[in-house]
Amino acid sequence: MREERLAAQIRAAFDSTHVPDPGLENRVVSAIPWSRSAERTASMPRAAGVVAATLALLAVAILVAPTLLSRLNIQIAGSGNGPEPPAYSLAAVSGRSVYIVQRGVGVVPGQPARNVLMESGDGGRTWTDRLHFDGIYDGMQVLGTDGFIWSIDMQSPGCKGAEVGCTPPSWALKLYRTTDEGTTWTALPATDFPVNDAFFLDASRGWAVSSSPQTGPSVEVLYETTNGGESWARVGALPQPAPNGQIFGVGLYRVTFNQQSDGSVKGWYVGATQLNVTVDAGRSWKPVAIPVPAAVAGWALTPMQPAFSGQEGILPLAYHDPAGPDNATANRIYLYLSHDGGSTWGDPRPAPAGFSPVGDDISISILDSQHVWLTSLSLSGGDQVQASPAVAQTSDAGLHWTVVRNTPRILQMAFGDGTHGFALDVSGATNVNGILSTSDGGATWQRVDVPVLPAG
Amino acid sequence: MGSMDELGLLNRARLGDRHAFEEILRPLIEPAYRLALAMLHEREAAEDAVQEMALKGWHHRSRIRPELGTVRPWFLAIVANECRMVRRGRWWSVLRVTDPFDRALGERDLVSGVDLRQALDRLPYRERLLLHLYFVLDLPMAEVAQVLGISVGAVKSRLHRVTRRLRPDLDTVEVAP
Repeated sequence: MREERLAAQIRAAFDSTHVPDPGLENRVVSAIPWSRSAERTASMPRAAGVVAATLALLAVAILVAPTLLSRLNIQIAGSGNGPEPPAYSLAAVSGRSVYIVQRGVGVVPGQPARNVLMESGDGGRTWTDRLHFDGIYDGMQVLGTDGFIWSIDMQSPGCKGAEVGCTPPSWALKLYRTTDEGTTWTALPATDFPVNDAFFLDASRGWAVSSSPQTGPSVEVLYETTNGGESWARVGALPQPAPNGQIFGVGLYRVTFNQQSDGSVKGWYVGATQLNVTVDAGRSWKPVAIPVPAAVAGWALTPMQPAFSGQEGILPLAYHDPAGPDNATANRIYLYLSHDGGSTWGDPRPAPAGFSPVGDDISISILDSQHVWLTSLSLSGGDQVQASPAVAQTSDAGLHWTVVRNTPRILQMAFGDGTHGFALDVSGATNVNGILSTSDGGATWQRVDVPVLPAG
Repeated sequence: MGSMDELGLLNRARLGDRHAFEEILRPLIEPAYRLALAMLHEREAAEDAVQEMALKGWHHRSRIRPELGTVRPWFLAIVANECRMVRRGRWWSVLRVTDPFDRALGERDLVSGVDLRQALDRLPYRERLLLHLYFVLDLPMAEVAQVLGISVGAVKSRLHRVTRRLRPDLDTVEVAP
């Protein structure tokens, strides 16, 4: 796809509402109360001397450090003038193993984005390089000794900023499978249809959601595989397009399936305004009946996927007042419970105020039908981005919550049990990605050292 | 990292040099106004947001970090937060009903252009902000990340998610720096 053309289209759309404001620059400057002191007086000669000395030391450090590091062949994420520090995704947590994806280091336009799958089985002390793959990492599932990891092909051959000669990305699903707990991986044939999302119930059965320029944005189509991704068959159209605002988290998917106690399979599809259910492997769908709490009657609903432990299910739903502000304090998340495998849902339990989505600025981690974690980057700050990062945790399906304030700025979490988990965070002025671990259910977090691996 | 001149300018602004501060502020006023207007669709509110950027920037000048080489992400983050605060108010939903710019659209607008503009308006605030910073203000991904408070990797992945969700039949971002 041609970014130049897209940029022009988006720019034109924004510019269609732009109205110049002559004289604004002078008005703004002239309104500044220049005589007002700064929040902290920093103009003392002594402070200036300290700043100058710091700058000098910084300059020396900048000049010397990369040379030393280069000679020692050491790369530190975020340092020097080399490649930008890698971005990570928290891919999966299974027992004591954690899998992370080092995403696209040193990507060159027109070249594939190379990712590295890394695994640690000792809480993040040591890491093993498991798989190198290209495309945009999209998801991973560990299913006992089996597992899948996949990416979406976003490569545009011939596109290097030029209008001519571009080939659009295929959006094909590039799938890898393991049968030995992630030690070795086998590449499977890429799909011949574009894919938005995928989900595997077990080592054989999986589903993929597709939309394309041919189907248009308002139609999504379901495909299924019964041979572990070797081949795919079209099932049919899905009932609604995806929601505009999505909630991100490790292990969250647009379509999921779960095994019922009688051996049957039930499927769940997150549509724009409702959760849909199927009992015939996606051939037909119907909306899930959700009782709306009086406090949020008339509010817009953003559905999420349910999670099950046997017949016990938990379903998080987000509500937003369409006439009110769109911020975490105003929006609400409720956890719904099911005791019959998802046939009925009720007993909505509100999450703590401030732990609600604004755009996609929330992460939810569901271990089972009792254990749920939520993050907030602006617990007390309303719309002030990153004003007050926090984590909320429940171990009784939302009846009681524990809120931990002033946590790292966590973007994703995943837990292996009720106390041990990992998180992806950003830190520093340039928002460098990092990995954290907890052994007390998210009350405290420790930084995990992750090596920067060559992605070739 | 900026040049030594820029570093010196930033350092002088940080220490309270009015002229240095004005020099780094002036080039940011137009893009800040452009951003605020795109987010708020209301000229006076946008001008207020830019004014707040200037006032807060001067008042909190001790937070300028010369070693970063630029204050642009910080200043634009102030504008973005001001816009969010304005949008928080219930009155804003009333104002949006009488969006004056809808009337300004001429008949010559292509249907696809109107569709795209309406689709942009329907996007969550943070996603619209992301697109504006990247495509209109042409900020490098690292600076977009600083304004939004997310990682560069997250900027890339969100760009391709948002542009695809916006209109799958249109071009989407090739996620590469």
